[in-house]
Amino acid sequence: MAAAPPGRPRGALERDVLACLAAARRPLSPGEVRAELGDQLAYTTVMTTLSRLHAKGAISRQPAGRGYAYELPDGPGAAQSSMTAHRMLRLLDAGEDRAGVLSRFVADLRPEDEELLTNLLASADREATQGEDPDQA
Amino acid sequence: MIALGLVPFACSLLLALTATPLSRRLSPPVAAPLLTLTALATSLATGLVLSLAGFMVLARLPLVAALGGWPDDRLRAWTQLPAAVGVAAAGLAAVLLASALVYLARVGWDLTRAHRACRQLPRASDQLMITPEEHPTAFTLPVPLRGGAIVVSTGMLRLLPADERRALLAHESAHLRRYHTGYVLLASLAAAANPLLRPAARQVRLAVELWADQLAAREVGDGLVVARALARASLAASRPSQPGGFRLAVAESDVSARVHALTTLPPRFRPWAAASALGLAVASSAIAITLTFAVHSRIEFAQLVSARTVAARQHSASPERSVVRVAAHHHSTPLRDHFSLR
Repeated sequence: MAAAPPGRPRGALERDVLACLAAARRPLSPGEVRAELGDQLAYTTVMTTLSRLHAKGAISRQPAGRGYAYELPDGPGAAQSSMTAHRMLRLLDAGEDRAGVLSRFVADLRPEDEELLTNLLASADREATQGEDPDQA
Repeated sequence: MIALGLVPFACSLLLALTATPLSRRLSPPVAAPLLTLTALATSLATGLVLSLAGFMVLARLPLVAALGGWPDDRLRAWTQLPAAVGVAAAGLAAVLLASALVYLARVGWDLTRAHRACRQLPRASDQLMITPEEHPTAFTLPVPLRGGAIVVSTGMLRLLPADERRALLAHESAHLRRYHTGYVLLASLAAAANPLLRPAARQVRLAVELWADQLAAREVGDGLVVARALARASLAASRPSQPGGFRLAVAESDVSARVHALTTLPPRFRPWAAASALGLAVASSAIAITLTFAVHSRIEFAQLVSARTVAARQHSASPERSVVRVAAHHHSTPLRDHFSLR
């Protein structure tokens, strides 16, 4: 089994694992992380990435069952990063980033954009439910 | 010569009119650098031409002429540029230069703030910073000396399913890997120094978004996943800013263009579109350079003539005078060409 799909550049897996742990509301086991990432990664690949992140101090772990469960570290660091984040987000406020230093992922929407996007998501969700369970659709 | 000086302005106007159709016909990795280059070249050219026009009028002032060592009456005879036009050009050049400097200062200030903010932020991984905010936000910012940072809020990460989360992160990291902010900032600088280039700068901004979307689609293997991530994130992010159904009209929106690009085939490479953008850049730079040399040689010739007059008046040694005469003769040949340009 390939360690990572050819499309994933270096460092992308660590990024995705971190994002996955940040999105979860509780500590995750390596198996859960692997299931969440969902692109046929080898268990050892996920395990290695988690250990590497833990060694860097980017994530914390606690014993769970026979192995460990991983989560983003909590505590004074988190509070400080919240303050810093607030300051950075102020950079984003209308009129503050006049120089255009930040590249935002989301853009301002017009009513017609909103309609387009809602339709896009609706059709995507319809396809997803049809793909999973044709009886329920 | 006055007609030649108008060429860079015509190029800026043409670029303003054609920026949108041009970028639509070029693939984003071509459009972003090409439009940035064209905007920069055109902006430099217009700035240079305005300064030259101002200089040619200012050089006629007796005080300036005395300082520079050229006879003002001769320059006056050579330039047909009306004094009012020259003064207006000089004023405009000063205003535009100031605008560009203000823009640069603003960029410097923002980058410094970004750097300071990032220094205090614990780093989750090499580039990713996760903030505990509930509001869905995600952005990339260049951080001097540290490459850059992707800042994503927990709210945004919880909003998206795993594959769309991956698409979002791939999009943001593409911005950093390909130095997208560099193109945006250079094009905006060009637009600050020449407001006619604003449409081009806007197209550069859109092109880097399309470019990052394209790379993200390649990484996750499906453009539709990127489009869904964009849709979900944009809808969620715009919701709280809607008091009672009223929304400020957004004049320009990239979302439709991005979704369209993600769900259709990329444009084929159109050599003529690339060539015409490049042509505008070359034409305006060539004219600006020609005019600079023309003005330079006129001033130099005027200086030589005045030196020769002084030398003749003082009855100085003959070898020195002959050197001056040879030099003056050498310069007079290209000058005759410049006169015919008027």
